[in-house]
Amino acid sequence: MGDEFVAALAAAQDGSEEAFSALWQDANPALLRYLRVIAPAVAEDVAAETWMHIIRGLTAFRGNEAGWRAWLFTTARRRVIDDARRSARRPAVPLEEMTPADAPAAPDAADAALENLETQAAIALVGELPRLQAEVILLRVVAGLDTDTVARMLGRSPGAVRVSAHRGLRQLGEILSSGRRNAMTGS
Amino acid sequence: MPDFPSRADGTVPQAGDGALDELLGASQPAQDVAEELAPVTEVLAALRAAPAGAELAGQARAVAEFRRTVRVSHRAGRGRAWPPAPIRERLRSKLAVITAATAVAVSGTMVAAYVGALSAPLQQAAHDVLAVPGNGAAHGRPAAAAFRARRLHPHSAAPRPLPTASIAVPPSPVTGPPVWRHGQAGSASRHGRHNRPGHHKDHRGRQADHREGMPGDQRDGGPAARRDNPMARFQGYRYDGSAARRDGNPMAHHKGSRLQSPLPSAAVFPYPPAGPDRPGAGGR
Repeated sequence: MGDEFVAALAAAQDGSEEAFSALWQDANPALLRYLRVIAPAVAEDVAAETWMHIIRGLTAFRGNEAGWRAWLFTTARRRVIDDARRSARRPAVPLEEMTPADAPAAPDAADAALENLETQAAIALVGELPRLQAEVILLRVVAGLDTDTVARMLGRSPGAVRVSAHRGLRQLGEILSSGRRNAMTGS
Repeated sequence: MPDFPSRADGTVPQAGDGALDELLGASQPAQDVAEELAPVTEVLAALRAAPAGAELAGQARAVAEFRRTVRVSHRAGRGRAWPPAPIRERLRSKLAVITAATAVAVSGTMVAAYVGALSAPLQQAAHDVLAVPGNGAAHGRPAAAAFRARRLHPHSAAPRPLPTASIAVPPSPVTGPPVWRHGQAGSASRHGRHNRPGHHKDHRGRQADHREGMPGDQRDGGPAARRDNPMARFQGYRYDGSAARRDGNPMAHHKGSRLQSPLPSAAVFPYPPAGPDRPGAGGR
């Protein structure tokens, strides 16, 4: 958002729905893209939980745009971890016992087909990377956080984060190259 | 899946770390590296693409939640006391610290004033404010010395220095000759040593018994009271005009009754404190 961020944040903290909508529109797509990689099954639910948490703490937030994004993505990451813990405590239901009515609805395939196919494909590509590499790339590229902030979020050293990002990008290149080779050989 | 561009030979790009950092930072890498990293650059650009409609679908729900939260917080804010809770907690903790410090300072001052460790002006002020017995050079220091002597030699029979303010009732043509009170300078010790002959008798002419546990001792509050309060022995000794009545003065009773208060009077505690030029000034 740049220069508009400070005014938007202040207005949202003062109760302006328009300002909050501007903040939401700016951050939610990146948040969803991040969540679709690290928690694809519950991305929308976790995003909604994250925004509820953000709304409750909005008036107490102090910081700039980078701090705002760090807060948002840190909150989302914690929600993902909490959801994973809850899922681990819940007994899994075998698929054979589920009726078609119980099956979760598939993501909106029409939307995925019509909108931003390249973005969906890129998310799918990054999702093939190891978890840490994918998360580092998304936080650096999608969330726009710097190396130090990502390192704090993930509990790693900045050097480790940088190495993970480089490895992830190189592996992404390998995936693309192998796909090209497969296409060329017809396999 | 869309066909991201890749190198025609299908080899893995071997760009350096600097070039990868530039890619992550959304800046354009150098030209030679850009060609090599073109497929990865396309993927990252797709990740940064403008939001699609599906990614903005939850806005109405988020705004509704925001509206509800804001309304609740504003409603709660109207009845909220001032100052806000964080400031109130900070003020409360500061107030507790100040109260504790004041309590320590006052109690310390009281103890120092009681043992006479304060300078004369401060001792005087403590006397005025805290009603500490003993003030100035005439009372504070000897009281401290007596206190220390009692602590060091609790059963010593040696006479100890006492406040030497004059406590003689001034002679009056009505009441007759002055009657010496217990506590006159050098007149008594706590263990019954009396170095002034006239002091062995009280104003009724009876033999005063100042040994501990005797009835005469109980009148002035007993030894325990004297130990705690150096002035306690003055209390309970009353000038009730008996001696004057003995001399046949019918008005003596009324004159003397003014002095029957069990509390120390101005005659017992001269104020201001006796100076070096006053009788009974012991100095330090």
